[in-house]
Amino acid sequence: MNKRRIFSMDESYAEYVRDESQFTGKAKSISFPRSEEEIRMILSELREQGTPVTVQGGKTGIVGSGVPLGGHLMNVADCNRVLRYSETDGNYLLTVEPGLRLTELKQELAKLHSPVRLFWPPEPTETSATVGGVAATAACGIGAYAYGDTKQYFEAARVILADGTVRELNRGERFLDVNGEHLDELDAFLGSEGMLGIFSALTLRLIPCPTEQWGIAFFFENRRDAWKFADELQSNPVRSETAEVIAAEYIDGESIWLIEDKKELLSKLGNIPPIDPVFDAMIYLEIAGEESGIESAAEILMERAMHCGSDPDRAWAVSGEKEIEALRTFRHAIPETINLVIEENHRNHPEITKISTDISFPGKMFSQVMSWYEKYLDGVKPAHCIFGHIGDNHVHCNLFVKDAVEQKQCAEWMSWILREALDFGGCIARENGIGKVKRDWFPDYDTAVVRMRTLKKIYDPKGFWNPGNMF
Amino acid sequence: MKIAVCMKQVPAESRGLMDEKTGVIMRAGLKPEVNCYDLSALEAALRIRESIPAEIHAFSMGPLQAADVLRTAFSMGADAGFLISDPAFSGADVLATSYTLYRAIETAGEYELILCGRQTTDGDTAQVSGALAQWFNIPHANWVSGIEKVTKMSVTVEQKTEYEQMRMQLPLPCLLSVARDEFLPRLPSLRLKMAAGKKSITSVGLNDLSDRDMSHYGLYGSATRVKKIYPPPRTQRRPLFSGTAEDCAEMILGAVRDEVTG
Repeated sequence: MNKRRIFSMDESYAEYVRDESQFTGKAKSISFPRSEEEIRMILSELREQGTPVTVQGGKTGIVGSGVPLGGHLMNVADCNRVLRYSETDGNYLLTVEPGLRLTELKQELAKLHSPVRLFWPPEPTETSATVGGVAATAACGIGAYAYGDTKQYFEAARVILADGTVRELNRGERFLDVNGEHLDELDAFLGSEGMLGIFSALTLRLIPCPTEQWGIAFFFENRRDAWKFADELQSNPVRSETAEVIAAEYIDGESIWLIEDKKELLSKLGNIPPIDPVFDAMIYLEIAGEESGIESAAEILMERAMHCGSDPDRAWAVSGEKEIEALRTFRHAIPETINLVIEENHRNHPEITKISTDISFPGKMFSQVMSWYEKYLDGVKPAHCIFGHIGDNHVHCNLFVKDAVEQKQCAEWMSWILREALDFGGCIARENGIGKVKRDWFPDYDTAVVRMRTLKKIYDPKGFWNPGNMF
Repeated sequence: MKIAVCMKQVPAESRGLMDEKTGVIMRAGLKPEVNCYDLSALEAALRIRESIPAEIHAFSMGPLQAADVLRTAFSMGADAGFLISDPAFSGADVLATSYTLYRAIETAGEYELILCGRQTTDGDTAQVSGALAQWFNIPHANWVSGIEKVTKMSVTVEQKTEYEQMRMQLPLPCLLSVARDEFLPRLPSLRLKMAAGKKSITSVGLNDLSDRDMSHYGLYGSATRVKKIYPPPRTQRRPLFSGTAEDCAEMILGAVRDEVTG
């Protein structure tokens, strides 16, 4: 074994065989390549040995996609350089290595010598995730409400296939027909959970930052009022020529109380004042554009919120990057805190893994979807919380399982609810992936699973990459 | 009751750069924000107003963009805002800053209570509040960690020192500089933020002050020049002196002399 690049697995690498889901795996060896060249050299050796490879980045996954079930584990977090930047006719492209974390990306964008300030719209709230991880799951951020699907913000990718071939995938260049679906080849790889090849470079499409931005948090004493407010946002979007709502997030009372309970452990929430326990739900919005347009939009939202029972004197309103960052940190604290609780419970009961939905219901009303969840959660024993994106009704329901019996019951519940969700018109694997944690819950006929089986036969028929994910 | 709150605009990040000639901190190109400690001072004022009727006036000394500080103050609940801005005021040290604030606050009438944040994140001296109280010739308390009671005649406060917690009653008018953690500032309310853009700000320049002698302000009115900015060495020992004002002044002078002469 090449001691410089490939290391035998031992206790010192224990943290690498687990991710935020608490799913734990195993591997025979591990590597930390720092460039495409190193990746290829390591892969060449592993291919000779017939050793399958699991790829991971920031270990922030919540479905075990980057957790190995044997074979070799390749952690690409050290592969994190910015390779090039180009600007042509208003197209701003940045090519980076897959291990670049989102926090680092933001710092790099601030250093660019561009006439305008730029940002990358996907911006998932998990800022320690890597760009490669975002590509592997097609994770969306709170900006998806206005900026749309994550995949469109990848312009190209360089991918290494199982046979060692390096492919350049450029948007719009090559298409596949997969089970009747006409797919851009680049999009086939995005969201593929590392099952088709490893990204060695990704070209991101950047866009100019809005001139001004506000963050507003409305509080509701009755969650049904919040649902009504969300319905109106969907049926009557607030936008003008100079400003629009770019993010709309729902946070239920259980999520709020969870954060309040664990606030002392989360020092980055030090600037957020306590939230009155009388509140049963919160809706967080961001408005971007010109100041006058933002104020008009805020006025409309304030009126609507008042009609839905929210007191505008108690609504938070901030502007400026740092202040908005503080509220986004609050929003991200929800999954972070949930993961803390799961980790705690997992220590006492190793069978426990994260159980959460990742379902979107395009075309439905928000209150319809929340009532649907209410119906299917009736009688479910563990406590739960629901938070997420109002756009496409893409919320996450998290169950706080306490022991092995509840884990088993909730796993069965998940299998059932995913099928019910498909019947109700939902997309059941939206941004977290399926990985190893959810694969047994997914019906074989799910579109994402069926698509991946076909793609796997094309690009990795021998199962070299990330075995155990999805199926 | 009328409460004056002093609030400063500071760079969002510190690079420790200063003009070698004048010793003035270089702020150009750095994103500005409200000094977080002053937000706590405003929060303290707002909490007082929740218990007794009071008018809260925010004062900010700085360039024209410091008006943003006052807009933030409005969006948190301040009733009026005063921007103390004039080319003559720039480059001021503690002495000149406190004197400028004193003369500017004077133009707006009499205040029963003046509140300041514990320190600023750029200058970090934590001395302006005490100097300001001296100009007004009013009692003051620093590091106030709680305001227990406010009446027409006095205010009762808690003060945390290194080893003890003290409870003091100060007659009004007085000045308090407040600790941060105990006065976690509220976030701006939407309704107030919407109204903040429409509220007027009173400008206070050199010509508005009762003392218009330029040599008393800014760089010319400063008794000190910054020689160097660097992070302090970390030390566990934090001695506490107590004594008369004269004794304490002698002790401080001695400590500074020892530091300078090594």
